[in-house]
Amino acid sequence: MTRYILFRLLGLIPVLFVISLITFFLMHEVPGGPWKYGQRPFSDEQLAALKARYGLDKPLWEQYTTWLSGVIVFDFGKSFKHPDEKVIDLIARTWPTTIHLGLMALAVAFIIGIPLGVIAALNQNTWVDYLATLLSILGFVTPHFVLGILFILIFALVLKWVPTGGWDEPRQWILPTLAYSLAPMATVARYTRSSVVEVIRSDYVRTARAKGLGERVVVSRHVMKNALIPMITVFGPLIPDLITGSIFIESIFRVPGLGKFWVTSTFDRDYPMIIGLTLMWTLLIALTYLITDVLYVYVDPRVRYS
Amino acid sequence: MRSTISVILVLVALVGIVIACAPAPTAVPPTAPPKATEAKPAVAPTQPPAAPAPTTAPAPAGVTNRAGTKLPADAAPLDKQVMRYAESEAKWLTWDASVYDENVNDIYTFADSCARPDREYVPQPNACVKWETTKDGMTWTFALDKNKKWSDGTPITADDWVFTLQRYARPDYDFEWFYSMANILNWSDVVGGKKKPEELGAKKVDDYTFTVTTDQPTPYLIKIFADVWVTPKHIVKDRLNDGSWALDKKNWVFAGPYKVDSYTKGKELVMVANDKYSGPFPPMMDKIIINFMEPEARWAAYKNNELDAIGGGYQQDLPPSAMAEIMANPELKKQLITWPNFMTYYLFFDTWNKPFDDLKVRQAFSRAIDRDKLIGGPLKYQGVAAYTMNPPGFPGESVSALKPVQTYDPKAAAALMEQAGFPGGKGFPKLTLYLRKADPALVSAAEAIGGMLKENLGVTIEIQNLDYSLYTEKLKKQKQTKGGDFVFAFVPYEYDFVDGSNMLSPWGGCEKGGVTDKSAMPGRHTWYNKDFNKLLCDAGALLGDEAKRNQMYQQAEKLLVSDVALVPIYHPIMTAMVKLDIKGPAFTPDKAGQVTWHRHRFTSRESLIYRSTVPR
Repeated sequence: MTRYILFRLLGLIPVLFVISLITFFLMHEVPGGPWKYGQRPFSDEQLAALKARYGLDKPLWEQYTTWLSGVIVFDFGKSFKHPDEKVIDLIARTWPTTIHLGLMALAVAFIIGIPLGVIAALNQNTWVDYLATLLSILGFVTPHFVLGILFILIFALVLKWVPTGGWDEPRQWILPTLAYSLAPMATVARYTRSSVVEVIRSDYVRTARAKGLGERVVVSRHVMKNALIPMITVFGPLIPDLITGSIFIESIFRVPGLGKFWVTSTFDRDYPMIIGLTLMWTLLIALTYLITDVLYVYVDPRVRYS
Repeated sequence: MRSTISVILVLVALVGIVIACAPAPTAVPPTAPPKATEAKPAVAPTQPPAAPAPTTAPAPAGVTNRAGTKLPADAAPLDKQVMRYAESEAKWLTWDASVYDENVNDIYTFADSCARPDREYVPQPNACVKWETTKDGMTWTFALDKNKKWSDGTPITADDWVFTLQRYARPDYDFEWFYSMANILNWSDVVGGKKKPEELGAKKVDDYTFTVTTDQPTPYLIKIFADVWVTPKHIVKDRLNDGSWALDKKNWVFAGPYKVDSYTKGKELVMVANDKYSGPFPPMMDKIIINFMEPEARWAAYKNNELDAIGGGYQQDLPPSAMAEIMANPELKKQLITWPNFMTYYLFFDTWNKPFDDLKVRQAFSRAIDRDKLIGGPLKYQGVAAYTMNPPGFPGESVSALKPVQTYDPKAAAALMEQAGFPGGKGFPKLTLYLRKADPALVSAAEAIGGMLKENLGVTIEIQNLDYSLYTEKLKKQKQTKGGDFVFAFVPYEYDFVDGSNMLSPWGGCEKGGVTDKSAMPGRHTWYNKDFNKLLCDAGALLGDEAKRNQMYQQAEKLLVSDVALVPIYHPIMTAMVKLDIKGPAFTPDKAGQVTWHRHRFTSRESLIYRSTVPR
């Protein structure tokens, strides 16, 4: 197992290298630069000076090797948009907030989604199932920003229970967490339902019931335990998705997190940030799948990595 | 396996407990306002607001803020003298770093300029208490206020002002072009590194006097100097610093009525009254908090009393949906301030290439667009119909005289298309109408324009909304290469300073001797007219006769509009919402009875407002 994990981790190095190379050259292909235009175009001389300021006047290969030599010592360069911060510091400043929000949303998604899926499955094709399915579909298809605006309207402006945004105190966490959790909650509920429906029809569940075990014991010991196995595949990727944030949620609720940088760094042509985030995302996804694969060994005795 | 699943379930449960332990929301937020019992009358365009009478007992007489400014008798207690705005977080902090990526609205608060326009846009003494020009209009002498100090106590001297101008004359400064319009001697050579900064036409005479020499008479120079914001030489030192000096807290020294107290990235910028400030705008409000917030979040935050004012800037804080809500609600309407802005949204063409090299085609387009329908539809509450580049009230405008040139006449438009060889749009190429980072209302307006062109001329238009970089590079490339697909676009232009020369400058200016290539001519668009350039050039250098100058600008604009270099669509109306308890001289109307909430009208509006005891 250790060899397997090490092999997978070493395999990440060429993956990250190739991704960095593709990202680097693609982002430089997009016209514009890390400066903002006003109403008038810059002269050629001004553009040359601006390029020199950001080191963009050098050949691309030279820019790439300079960047790469920094990466070796874990220096991803300074953000063009935040010139007083290194990319790594900017991520360190903003990511904890996003992780905080993401984990809370994940918790809500699991705490509500799993029971919702189980209840729907146990009451298959009844009004309970239909209602749970309807809620799941609504949560799944309604975009974050629509939910966000709706929640602000209801809970902040009409009921006056919470502020419209901010991240200073726990009551400001409630709306973004709820808005952010509904889509993953729907995913969790839908997959839980499917998985449980499949398991409750299996022979060993029938056997458990035939033994005279109570329904609660059957569900908790036999159904849930086995239904969780395929769900690991689905739930694993939810985690990096949630802990890297959403521009909509963070903008609407004024959450000072990392989420907006996934979009704004592209508009700002903040090259060091773009490539830093891309690599971070690649690493997160790769590690998530690695952990998921390792978890299989523990939850499913049939799986072995040699 | 059982234990693994148990661990997962326990983890989920633990996170759930963490959530459950978070404090429950309270029923009423601490900022919830008292119900208004008496409110400020509606503020409509051209009508001043009537001052509301306080309905609660005013704070004890003699509320004085930290800068020593004594507030009016109805002022709320000192701890309430806090103003909360919203801005999108920008990259830089100061004007000398960047103008397009700087917290623009803040600069007027913590910086100080040479002159300041009054409500009628006439430059008034500020840090420069006096100025005079030589008879030939080529040399200006500025006398400085000797009492001015930086917030660290260092005197503000001519060294700082000369350094500021030298600093503006650097090639990577995004607002350098603006100061180049002042025609300061050796400007472009200093920018280009061909001459030393000391050779710039800005010289210290003594500690409190400096001169500016120009390479041609520039009667409007003082209007540009309303936007020269002094930079602390003793702090910045390096003329070529990219602006990052101000991002380091230890360098925070300010000249304006306020100074930065804290800057929390991603959250807020806090300013407090500057006790070292002396000048015509002593701070009234004690503290200003700029919340970093995207425009789409502001309207809800304002309604929930988390902000004291929104709007009045370049972002769409009050989209048409919000405006409709305000207009339908008498309580909200009382908080609304609207005023016309010197700005024009217009369509422009590549007149050097087909199909817009044909005047008849351009005329057909100009007469096929029903501006009134746009103003009543997608642009409702956003502006007034435009037929000229210079808006109503701008020096040199000729709105009424030029209106008939491009009025809506679909029959005439169709006939012109036919004369141009495109009856019913037959044979006319499919076009892309480019926009520059347009908000949804403008995109809707562009789509409506496309519909009108289809209906009236049979022309098919596709809309593309580009970001600033892509748009600007396409614009520049089109002019330089004189060919490409960038032949039709829809953009705004806002005045930089109130002078007849300014809003016509995108279309031309003084031609350099010996240059014959159209693409090297002044102006950004692919339109050229020698007579227009001559008029602009001569008027720009004309001394002592403003009426004559403005006549020349009128003649120039007639050439522009008649040749359909552009199709003006609308002049925007600015909108802002300000809570009813905010009072002060900032709400004094101008001569036309107009109240504004605009950055350019007067310096540091925060200096001219305070929070009263009037209920919201």
